[in-house]
Amino acid sequence: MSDTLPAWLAAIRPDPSDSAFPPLVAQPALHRQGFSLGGALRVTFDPSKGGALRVAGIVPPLGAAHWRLTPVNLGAADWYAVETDLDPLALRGLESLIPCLDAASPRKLSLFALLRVIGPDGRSHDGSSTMVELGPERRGAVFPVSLSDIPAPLLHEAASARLIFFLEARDVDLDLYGLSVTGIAAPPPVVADAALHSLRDRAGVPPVAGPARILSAATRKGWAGKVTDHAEIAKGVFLNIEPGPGRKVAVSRGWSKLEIDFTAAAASRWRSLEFRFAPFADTGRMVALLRVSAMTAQAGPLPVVVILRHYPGQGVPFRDSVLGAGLMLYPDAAPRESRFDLSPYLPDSTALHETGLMLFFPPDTGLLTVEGIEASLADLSAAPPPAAETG
Amino acid sequence: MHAWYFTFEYPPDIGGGLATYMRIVTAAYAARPASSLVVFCLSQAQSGLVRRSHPHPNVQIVSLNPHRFGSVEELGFWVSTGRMFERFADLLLMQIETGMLDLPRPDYMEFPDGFGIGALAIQQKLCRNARYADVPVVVTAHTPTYLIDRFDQMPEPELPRYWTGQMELQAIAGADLVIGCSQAILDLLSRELASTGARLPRAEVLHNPFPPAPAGPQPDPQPDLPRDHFYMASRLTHWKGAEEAIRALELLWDDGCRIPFLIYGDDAPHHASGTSFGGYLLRRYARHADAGLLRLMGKRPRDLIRRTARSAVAQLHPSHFDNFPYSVVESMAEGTLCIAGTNGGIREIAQDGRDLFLVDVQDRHAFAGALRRALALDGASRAAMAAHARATIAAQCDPQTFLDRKEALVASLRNSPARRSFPFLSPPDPSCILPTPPPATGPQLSVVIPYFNMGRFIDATLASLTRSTVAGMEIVLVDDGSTDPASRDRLDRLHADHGLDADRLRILSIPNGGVANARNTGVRAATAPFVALLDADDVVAPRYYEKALSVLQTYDEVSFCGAWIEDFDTRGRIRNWATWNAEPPLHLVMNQTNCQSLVYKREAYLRDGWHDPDLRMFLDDWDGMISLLAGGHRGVMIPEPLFGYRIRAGSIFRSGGGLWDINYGKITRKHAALYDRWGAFLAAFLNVNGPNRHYHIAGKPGTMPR
Repeated sequence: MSDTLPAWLAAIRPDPSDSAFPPLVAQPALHRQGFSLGGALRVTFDPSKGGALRVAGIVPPLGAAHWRLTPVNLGAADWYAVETDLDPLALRGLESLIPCLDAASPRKLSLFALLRVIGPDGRSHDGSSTMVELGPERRGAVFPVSLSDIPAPLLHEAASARLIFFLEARDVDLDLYGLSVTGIAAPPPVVADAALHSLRDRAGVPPVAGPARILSAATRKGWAGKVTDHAEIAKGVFLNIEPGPGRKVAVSRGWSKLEIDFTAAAASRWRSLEFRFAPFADTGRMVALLRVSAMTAQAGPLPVVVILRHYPGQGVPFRDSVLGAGLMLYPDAAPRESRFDLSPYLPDSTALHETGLMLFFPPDTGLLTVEGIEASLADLSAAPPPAAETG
Repeated sequence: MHAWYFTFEYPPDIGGGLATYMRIVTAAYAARPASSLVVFCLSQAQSGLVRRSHPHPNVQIVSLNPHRFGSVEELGFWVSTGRMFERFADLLLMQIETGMLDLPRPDYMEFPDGFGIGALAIQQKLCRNARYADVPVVVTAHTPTYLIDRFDQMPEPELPRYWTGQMELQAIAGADLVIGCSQAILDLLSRELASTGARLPRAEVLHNPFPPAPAGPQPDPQPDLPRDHFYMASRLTHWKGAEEAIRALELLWDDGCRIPFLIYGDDAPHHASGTSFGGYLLRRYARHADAGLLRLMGKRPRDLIRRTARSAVAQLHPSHFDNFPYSVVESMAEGTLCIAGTNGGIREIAQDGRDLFLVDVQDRHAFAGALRRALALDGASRAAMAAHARATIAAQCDPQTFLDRKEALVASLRNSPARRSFPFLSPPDPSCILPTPPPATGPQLSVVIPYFNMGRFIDATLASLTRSTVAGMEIVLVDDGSTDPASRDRLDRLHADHGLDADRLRILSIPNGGVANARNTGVRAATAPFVALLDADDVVAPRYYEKALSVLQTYDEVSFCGAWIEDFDTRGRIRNWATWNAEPPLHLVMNQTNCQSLVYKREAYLRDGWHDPDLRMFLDDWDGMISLLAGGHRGVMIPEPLFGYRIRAGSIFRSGGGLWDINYGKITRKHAALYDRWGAFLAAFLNVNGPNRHYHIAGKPGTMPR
């Protein structure tokens, strides 16, 4: 697994022995323009509206030295930035950049990381992490940036690269203990996708234990019914909500579609469909394949959280692992396929794993029209190598 | 010019009419090397929050993933999306101004009307955010989604649909320029705004651009082919008029005609029948479906439809209303014979019988007549109409001419006088237009703090006030007969601990009479022309009062000003809560302001803003805001969380119990005339959303069980 070992790109911490740090401890500095924070880190903000940024050096009696950044009258509708340069050569061959900010904010602070890659023609492209909120407890907050959002050729010819944290500039402190940046190397190309396609080519039946779990009008048990807590609505497919007064999910079967109405389950703390797999052994390359053809009644997209539920058995509670970024449903029934790596989430303690793939729907799901949802297991290690191209 | 366009549809991630418009605008700007375009769009496919790329040397795409922004849960999807667009416009401007990004400042920004995605950026500009000050904001009226929902028989007052519609109207009313894709949509929007007393700002018609056909011989329309079907290519929704087409075709089928009607497109939910619209049509018109005359083809590639259409009698576009539909424009450009409805904008460029057939699609017999006219066309006439249609699109929809005209319109905005009138959807009574008070010799702002046993929290409150950027401020603290010795003692040390002299912090002591009485007492004692209320356990951001006074001093018809709320506790921020301009009708049924911490023109408060001690300290602040609305006043809410509301156990709001229902009754009786004025809306709203314990956030669905 050497292809996924992290590559260290940067590690920055405040250094109390640095000559610039003690003065900040004695007398915090009020900056009215951008400035350098200990050499490798730069701080930028727009002072044109009269705002400023205060930086102090903190050396607590117990604990680590850190910088404290405090916006002064920048305003809740403004931003400031903390940035550092990266070696563009180090980005080559990476799948993800993993910045980790060791920080805290006593009144909470939202920020995200942005990777700016500048090409030889001077034009820049950006990719970013998600928005993250720092809280009062010091922690290493990670801001993964997928390099798939940056054009691959640019990563190979980049002239320079910068990692920029954009922070909301409300008047709350940021206690900054350090920054580290690592990279996750990309897996060998082609193999995984080729294996997936190969599996799909086999009439849609992956060559692993147990059949696919399919929810559709054809597999639905019965024509119409209501689920008030937990029910198997197709073979190996379970619908769950939290029981409560008036709560129910109506499941109606049409000729070609299934309608699942979650409207009366909006107050439930969860609404889920579970696709329970037959027990299987972990080969280290197990994946779940999910093919969804379902239409929401919402005007906008509907986010669905995808979770692997592992049942250890013998009275041990189940364990849930969030898989990737989940999936989106839209007001159309175009089929969408997803693949989720399972092996990293499976414990070593059991030989056979009992699991379910759970789809958790948000409270405003309303009516869901299902043409078909299919969940299946696949073992990438068992897939044949991709066929050589001919012709 | 340098343009920034914002869109919720952009190819290839999200298709639709707006995506077609954006694709054409992007190509048109790419062909103008001296200009530049930045497109802000949505993408669910990218893993991160933001991605910026360069598809052309002078075009950049900033795609944003709304589910990575982190506020969908607290604000609702479209409010959060609008805020995300506003925040990222601000972020790009910040990077330009600090030299972090080498990009020209925009000469204008353009938002579509749909989902009100420009409402918060426009509200920021109206609230005098300096970043937006010199950037004209254009809203293009493609057709607001609330009107589409109405055409589609959706319940309009249902949350969050109703609120999305209000944001669409706010964006349109607040734009510097509205561009209508047709006069038809501008006329419709004028009527919509006029229904609540508002008006459309400066508005101009620019028909949507469409690229001319490539040079060379045109495709052969094959005028002599046998004609074997009618067809529609559209998502299956009620408002697209498939049912009207079927009802007209029934007249032909009943006469023995056996030409089928093919409908291409995705099926969609149909609220009225509780099923999909396709399912509804197949049930309702089963005999035609069984006979093979009505065929739902599903979504098919456009090339396949185009090939099949060569033997079509005509393509039908029977929408109940269509602003300037690309489906018709594309068909005309391809030389396909169209039959379209008269209720829309296509008639502004196309002539009935020359370019296509136009008909009132609601008139079944007239529609059938148009179908028969199409059937009766000979080959030569069909070819002549195709040539006319292509020429019309080439002459009316040239993309470069479109951009030339738009940029000329934007350039003409440069000399517009600064806006002094706030574009409320329900404008204030003329008697409430209160000129800005003259500069005061004393304090500019009085902050009134009711105080009852709040010794634990008052220091944080005063500390936030001493950080305020408004210099000329007096604080009037009204001790409402505190009984807690520590809280009484704390008062003695406030001047010294916060460095406030007796003029800047005035402490009044009165017998306990409740928070409403204490607030009123403080306002009576205030000496500044502007007064603010602030509870003794809450806080304000340093620039709150500066921004609020700027709004109140700019707009004569704004009587009070507030801001978004940050709920917090001992662990910091819990969530942001969006507030909205104070105007009827929504505020009569759900509070949407920070009513406990507004900033008023003192004259407005003295006239109509008194808090009612009879409400026993519960909802008196909301009632005070409703009193102002009843008096004809209006308020503006700054879309930034500038007010901090402390969430703590035992607060009066959390222990209101039965007072909720009692005081709602008192409030509606007290302001009966105002509630009567909006009674029809309120009845419809309450019927679909239930009583107001089922909704707290206008941008999210209510929780009433159905």
